[in-house]
Amino acid sequence: MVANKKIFLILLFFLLSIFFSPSPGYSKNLIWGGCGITKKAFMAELSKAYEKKTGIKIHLKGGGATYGIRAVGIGRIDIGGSCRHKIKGDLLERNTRLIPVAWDALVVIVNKKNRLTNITTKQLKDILLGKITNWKQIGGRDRPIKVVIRKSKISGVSYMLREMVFGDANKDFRPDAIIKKSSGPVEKYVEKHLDAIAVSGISSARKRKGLKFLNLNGLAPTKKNIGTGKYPLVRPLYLTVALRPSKMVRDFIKFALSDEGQAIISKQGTVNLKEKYGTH
Amino acid sequence: MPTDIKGMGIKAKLTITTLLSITIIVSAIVGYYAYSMGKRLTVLQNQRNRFYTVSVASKALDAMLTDDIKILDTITRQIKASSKDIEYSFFRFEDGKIIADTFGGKIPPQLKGVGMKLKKITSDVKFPGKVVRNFSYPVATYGTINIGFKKLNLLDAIREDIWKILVIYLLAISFGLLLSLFVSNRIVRPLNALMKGIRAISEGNVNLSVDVKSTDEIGQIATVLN
Repeated sequence: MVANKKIFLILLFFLLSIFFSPSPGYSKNLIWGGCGITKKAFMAELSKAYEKKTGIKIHLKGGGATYGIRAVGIGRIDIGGSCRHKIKGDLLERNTRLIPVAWDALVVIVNKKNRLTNITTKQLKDILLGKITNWKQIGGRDRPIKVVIRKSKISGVSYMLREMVFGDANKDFRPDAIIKKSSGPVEKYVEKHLDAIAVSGISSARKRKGLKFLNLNGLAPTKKNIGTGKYPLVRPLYLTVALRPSKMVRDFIKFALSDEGQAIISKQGTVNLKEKYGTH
Repeated sequence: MPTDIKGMGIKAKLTITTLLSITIIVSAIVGYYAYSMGKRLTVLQNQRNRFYTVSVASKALDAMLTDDIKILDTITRQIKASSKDIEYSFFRFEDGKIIADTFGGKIPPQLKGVGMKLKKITSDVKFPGKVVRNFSYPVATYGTINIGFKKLNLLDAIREDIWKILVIYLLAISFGLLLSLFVSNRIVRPLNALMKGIRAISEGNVNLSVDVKSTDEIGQIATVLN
C-alpha cells in the first residue's frame, strides 16, 4: 500500500510538472508581420541582431502595411510593420499604436533601359491621372506609358502616394492602369517592361537590379536629400504594437529605438531617426 | 330457409380487422421513420449552416485585415447570393452597430440585439409569416458576422424523400390487403364447407361427409359431424 502511494505521488508529480512547465521555444518567440518594405528596410537585419543578442527569435511574415496595423490590434501577431499612417477614424485600426522607427522615400521607378532621368511632381500627377499617356510628352521616346499600381487603395505605397501627391487618400488613378497584388510584383513588372512606370518604396526598390529611380523635381532620393526633407516624397516607417504590449514586445521596441538598433537601421542604407533633419 | 347473411359476413369482418391492424402498425413504423429522418436532416442542416458561418467568418477576417472596411458590404452581399436558403446577412461591430448588411441599411427591429452575445451562436428570429434561424460567429475582436437561414421544419426536411416514403407505405398496405384476404379465406373456406354439411343434415341427408382437413376448432366440429 505504501509503495503504491509513493508510485502514485511520483506519477502525479510528473504529470503536474508536464502540465505546468512552460513550453520551451514558445516563450522565446515573437511574430512580426506587415509591410514588406519595412521588412527589407531594416526589420530583417534588426531581428537577426536581436536574436544574436537576446536569443529571442522573431518570425517575419509579410501581409502588407494594413495587415501590419490591424493584425497586431487583434493579437494575431506580436509586432507589426507599417509604411503608412493609421487611417483616421478607421474602426479596424483604433487598437494599434504606431511607433516611427526610420524613414523611407517613395521613388518613381522605371526600367533601367529607360533614358529619362528626371520627372516633376506635376508630370507624375498627370501620368497617374492619365493626362499624360506617352513618354514623348515628357521627353522620352514615342511609346505609350504603362502605369503599374498596387491593388488596394490603403496599402502602404498607395495610401501615402495619394495622400502626399494629391492630398486625397481616395483619389482614383487612370482606370486602365495595370494592377498588381503587392509591391514586389509591381517592381518586377517594371524590371521586365521598358514602357512601365510605377511608384515604390526606396528600401525595397533599391534591392532590384533592373530598375532606375527618376529624380523628382531634379532631386535624387539620396540619404542626404531624404534626411534634409528636400526630396518631396518622404514617409516614416513604423513598428506597430497593441495598446498594451507585453514586456517582450516593449523590450524589442526599446532595442529598435536604441543607438545600437538605429545604427543597424542606418547600416542598411535606410534613414534612421537621427539622420532625418528636424526629427529626433 | 334463409341462405343470405344479413350485414357483413365473417370474411369481410376478418379482412377489415386484419387490414386495419396492419395499417396501424405500418403507419406507426413509417411515421416514426419519417420523423427520425426529418429530425436527423434538420440537425445535419444546422451543422452545415454553422460550418458555413464559421468559414465565412474566417474569410471576412482575412479580408478585414488587408482591405478597406467597405469590403464587408461585398462579403455580406456575396453571402446572401450564395444560397436560396439565406434570407439576410449582416456584420455587427463590437460596439453593437451594424456596419454592413443586406437590408440596404433598413435593419428590421426583430434583429435588435441579435449577434451581440458572442457565446450565442444560434437564435430564432420571428418575422411576420416566417421564422429565420440566425447564425452568429465572432470575427476576431471586431464583432460578429450574422447569417439568417430559412428555418427548416420537418416537412421541408423530408420533402425530397416523401415520394419514396409514400411508395413504401402503399406497398406495405397492399401487401397487408393481400395478407388479410388470404387469412380470412383460410378461415372462411372450411366454415363454408361446414355450413354446407350442417345444411345437408338439416335436410335429412345423413350420408354426406364434410371434407375438412384442418385440426383446429372448425376441423374438430367437422370430425364430430362426420
